[in-house]
Amino acid sequence: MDTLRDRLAELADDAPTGGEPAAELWARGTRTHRLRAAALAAAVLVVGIVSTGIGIRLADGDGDHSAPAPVPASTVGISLPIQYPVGEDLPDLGAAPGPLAAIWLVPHFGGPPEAVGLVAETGTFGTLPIDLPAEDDPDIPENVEVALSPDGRRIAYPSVTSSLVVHDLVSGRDSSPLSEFETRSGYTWVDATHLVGHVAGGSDADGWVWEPGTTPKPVNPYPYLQGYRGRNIWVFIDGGGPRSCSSTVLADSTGRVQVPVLCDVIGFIGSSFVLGHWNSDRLHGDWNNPDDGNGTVVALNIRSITTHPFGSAAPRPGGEFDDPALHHVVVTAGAPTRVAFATDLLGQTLDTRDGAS
Amino acid sequence: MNGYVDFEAFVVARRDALLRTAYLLTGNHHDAEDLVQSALVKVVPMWTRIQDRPEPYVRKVLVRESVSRWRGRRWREVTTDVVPEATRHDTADRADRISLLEDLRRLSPRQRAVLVLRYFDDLTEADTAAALGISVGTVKSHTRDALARLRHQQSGEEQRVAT
Repeated sequence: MDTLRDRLAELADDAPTGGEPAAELWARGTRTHRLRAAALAAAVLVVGIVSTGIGIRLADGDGDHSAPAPVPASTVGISLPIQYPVGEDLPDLGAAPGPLAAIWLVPHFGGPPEAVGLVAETGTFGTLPIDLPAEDDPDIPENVEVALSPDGRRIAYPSVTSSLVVHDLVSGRDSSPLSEFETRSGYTWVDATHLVGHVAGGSDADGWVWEPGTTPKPVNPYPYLQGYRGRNIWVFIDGGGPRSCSSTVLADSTGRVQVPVLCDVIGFIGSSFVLGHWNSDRLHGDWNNPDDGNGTVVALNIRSITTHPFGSAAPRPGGEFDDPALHHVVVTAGAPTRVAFATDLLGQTLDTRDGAS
Repeated sequence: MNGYVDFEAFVVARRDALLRTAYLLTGNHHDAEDLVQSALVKVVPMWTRIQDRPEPYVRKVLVRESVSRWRGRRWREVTTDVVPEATRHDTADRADRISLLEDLRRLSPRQRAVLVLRYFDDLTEADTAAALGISVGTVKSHTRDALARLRHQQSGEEQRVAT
């Protein structure tokens, strides 16, 4: 009988060959590198125009009728640009700091990462006292990740004792499913209260949906995550100016598409060096060296999208669409890989600032 | 164009080998091509630093990109219980390839990556751990779980055929 090694080698014989000329790949690589540098400059330019501060009153539960306990109306105190407190010890935000605008993990290789949050109401950076497992814990099947609900009120993460904890940042209360519940790490909030993930050891179609306080229900997660696709688009600022962006290649049920988008750069939080996160483009970086990161967090307000068949410059017939969720996308350009944004909260902020947007 | 000549030589010499790994990681021709091109584009800015020994770095980018893409794009993947029907011209080898492809697709992306790196690229456990950014212990547990899952899937397949 053939070994697995033999079978993999035979299967690999079906692999495609060839591809774009090396010169084209080289040109794209150098162009991307330039664009990322230009992204920071573009963000600074636009921030200079819009940096008068936001101070926006949030509307109550706009269109989200499934949310049983909307966050009380509050003032978002984020002004742009937000200055990260370089070199300062961050305060402990406590168990109930209120909704967060963003959260990310500062890795400490060999130990648990530190969760850093940006409080939406005050614009304060600080650490969150949550018991994350160490990154290299062999009992944790995937890397540690924290998911932030779209309204910024809840975070979901694996703890040292449970594969899933939801922490309410307003009440300070924790929720976990029953003890026999086991999940892969990496969950997705599909709205303010419902979390979707995959069953540990199951196939990609073995998932669950859970509203804290209830029992998780087994589901095929794809329909849930398909509805969430708008928030998964990563956009890079293009060289054509602050209103021109480009996305990575995406795919949907109709095949691969390229998605040019038109957007406004709203501002940035953090800077190109102070976040100090590991970035997939910097595999040789020192995770613990704050000067070695290159993350720049940029807020964008997406205006319109045109889809193209893959490899074609001609738009797909009927491929223009206007997804309301995309207006709320806040994305990262060359940013830390694991920033989670309160997309609805920030989207409402952007909409309010833009008036009739 | 500093470094371009070396880059071009590397692409010409090693792209097909990268595509073989990428095909096992993705199970799809288009995704494999896209993954390799994306990895090659990503390493261009670092080329002068890695050109003396680029392949480990390129493969590290390739495999991590494959895992992170799957996470960000779960919505686009569609699973099916229906294995493509083999035509009368398909050989037993062909059927075995399709079966293995389906079995690999049912693994988690990281389990799949561990198997491909360990049993196709012949990396050590330590090198596999470094490539994926995980511990050796996690590589061991993923390997154990993935092999058990493959065996389980194959035995189930054989039982279905027997009945």
